[in-house]
Amino acid sequence: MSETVRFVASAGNRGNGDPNEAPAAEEMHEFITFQRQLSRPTDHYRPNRLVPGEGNPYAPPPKASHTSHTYLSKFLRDPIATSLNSFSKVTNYVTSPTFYDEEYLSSLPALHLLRPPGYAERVNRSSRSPTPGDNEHPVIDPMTTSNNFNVVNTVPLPPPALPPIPCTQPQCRLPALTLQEFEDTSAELSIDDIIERIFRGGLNDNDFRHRLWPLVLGLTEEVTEFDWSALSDLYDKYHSQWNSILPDQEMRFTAYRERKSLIERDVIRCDRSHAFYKGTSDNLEKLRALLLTYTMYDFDTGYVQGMSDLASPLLYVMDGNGTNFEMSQSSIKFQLEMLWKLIELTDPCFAQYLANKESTNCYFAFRWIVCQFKREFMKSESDEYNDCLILWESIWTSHIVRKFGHKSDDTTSTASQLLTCDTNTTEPQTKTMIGGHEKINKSLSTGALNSNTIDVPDVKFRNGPHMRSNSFRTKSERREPPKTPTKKESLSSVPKTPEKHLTDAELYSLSICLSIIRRERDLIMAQQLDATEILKHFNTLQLKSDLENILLHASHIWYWLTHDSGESLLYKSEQPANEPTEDFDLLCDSMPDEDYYIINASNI
Amino acid sequence: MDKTYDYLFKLLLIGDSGVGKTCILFRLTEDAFSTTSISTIGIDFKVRTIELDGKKIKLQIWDTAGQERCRVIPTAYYRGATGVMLVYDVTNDKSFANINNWIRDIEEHASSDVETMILGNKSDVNDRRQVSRETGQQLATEYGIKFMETSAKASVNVEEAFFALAKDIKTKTDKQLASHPHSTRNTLFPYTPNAHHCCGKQGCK
Repeated sequence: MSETVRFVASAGNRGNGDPNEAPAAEEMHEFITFQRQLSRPTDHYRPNRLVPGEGNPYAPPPKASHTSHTYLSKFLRDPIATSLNSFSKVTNYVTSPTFYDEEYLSSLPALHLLRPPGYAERVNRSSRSPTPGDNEHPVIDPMTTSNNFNVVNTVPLPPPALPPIPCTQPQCRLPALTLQEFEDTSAELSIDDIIERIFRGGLNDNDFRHRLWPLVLGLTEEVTEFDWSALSDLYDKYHSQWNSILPDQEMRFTAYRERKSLIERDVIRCDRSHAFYKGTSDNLEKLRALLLTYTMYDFDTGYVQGMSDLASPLLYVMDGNGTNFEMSQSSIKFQLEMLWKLIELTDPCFAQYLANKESTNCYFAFRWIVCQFKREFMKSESDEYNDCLILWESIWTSHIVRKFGHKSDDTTSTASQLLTCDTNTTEPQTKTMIGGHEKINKSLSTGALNSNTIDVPDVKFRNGPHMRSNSFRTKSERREPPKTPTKKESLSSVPKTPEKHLTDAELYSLSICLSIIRRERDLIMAQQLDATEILKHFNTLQLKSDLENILLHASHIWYWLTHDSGESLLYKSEQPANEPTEDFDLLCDSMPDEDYYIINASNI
Repeated sequence: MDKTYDYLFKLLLIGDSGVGKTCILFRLTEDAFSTTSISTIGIDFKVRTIELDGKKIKLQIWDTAGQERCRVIPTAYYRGATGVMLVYDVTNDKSFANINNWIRDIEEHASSDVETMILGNKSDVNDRRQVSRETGQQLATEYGIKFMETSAKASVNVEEAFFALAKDIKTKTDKQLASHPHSTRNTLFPYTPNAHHCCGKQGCK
């Protein structure tokens, strides 16, 4: 509220003050509230297509109409007509607002109020320059000066409407699965159904997680208690390897010593405000042991900062040990590039905006990906892990859910936990197992799979009761009628797709990134944030209260990617587009015509 | 609060993981010390405006992960930086030994006229000290750069260090400005070839 007051004061200073000041403030407050209420993702779906309406307990509240919102609400209600009218101007208006005609500007009565907290500062700064006497100090701030053009034209423009994701099947989120519900229904449900249920709601408590995570993580396909003993033994072996290093031996073992010292420095500062790790808890020692054991499991990867973030909630749930983490620079880089492409594909206006602000590198998503959104979803008073675990459960299960829509094609799913932490815990070996799994994946993705390279735990895993082979699916495979690719088949498809592809877990993580970005894009454009401000905005984002909406929207994106040819568009855009209309045609095939403009817009 | 300023300097905090970069930043900008800070992942920055010689200087201080492998970002991170705070931990001789590597890193990525300063942090922890003040000072002298020992926890020298660095940069900038009034360019993420991606298609202007 103090921000509001400050803004009013600054408006007054600029000579705009008039007796309407109080109503204006009120109106602005209302407007900002309204803006905040747009529960982003789902709000932008046109009701007639994507939102099934009733039935979804997480659907956003109906928006109250407000006369002064005409243009923006029109935009949001009917983005196509409205945006088609103004799309031709979009490029201009991101780059040079001056092209706006008077008529257009005057149709935005409330938009001068669209000044979120902090905006007044910008106005102040710019309104300051014409004041005589100001020139005595050179203002050395090219970042601002280069923006002065925009700043001088202080009539904020409405952000171009967020194009909806052309997802053809309504998605939903469900409440977290409870043990009770699981026991009542598991007899009738297939494993895949259960997994989809978890994808859409997560699990509701930690004991229950303990029981179902082996299933979620693909260690088993049974819903019965998992036998951890084999994994446990394996864990103990790795554990004893570092545990038996003698002090003098350590002196001569620099590679180990360095990893250990890094781990120790991070463990003492990991989640210390969480009750589980507060004070001088034994749990810190367990976390340390877990990470050291992982180091012995995969010495080449060793320890990478951020692993402790992934391990700490897992340890909390399992109170044992285990985690896995695969991270290479190139993988993250590639994911950030793909995220950028995804933004381009789904929201050309915002992509243009980011390009203008030199933010195409998407660095703001770096931590999301490395820590799998953990820090964003536990940053609140309670420091609870629950939200973050629900989110992780959806990541872990995303590859299985992917095949829904043509369910008959059996259990061949692409399993890929690359980058996700896998876990396990009491039997940390799980992690080892999953680690092996990743290797398979990795080699697959490089097209160089050689099953002989897989080491013992992997083999065990692959011979397990139900292993999920990772098929690296090509588009055609996916679109084909039910078929059960054998491992061989899926392997043979590899050479056809030599380019780098994301694993399912990575791609789904990007769906979550995109979902968050789409939630914030209006605010970012309305405030005309620059590169540093965008980074700051995302770095300080509080997302916890909106988990369900974010995941709901992510599941729309995921469905669109996996079933509505979004993924092929994504990879297609990677290659130089020789036939500029091709993407468009592709989309036409599967989309109702109202979606044309999404792709079309990119031709403007 | 007056938001205007006369100068904007982009400063970087670099150094090994766990030497206290984030804590130094927290002390400088919030004047507080957090015992529950968490390892930095990715990239972040904070702002502090100071006054020097009657001019307001906005310090935009960037903080990133210490571990090399976590740093996808180095080149962009260095670009446009006018000053670097190179931090080691006086209780960790490895972090001190690595100063040499960090300096090489700066030479490789940062602009050649960047102002650098070495900070030996955690100077309040005397019982576990591994690097003496003299050793630190000697290294800095070899490289011809300024040196201070700091303690983010006890609030020793943190402000002083940033003031000293800002003063050097200001002096340099004023000199440059006198000769080339429009030369200062200070951009965080400069234009990249990818920026043509306004729409993902060729032929789009």
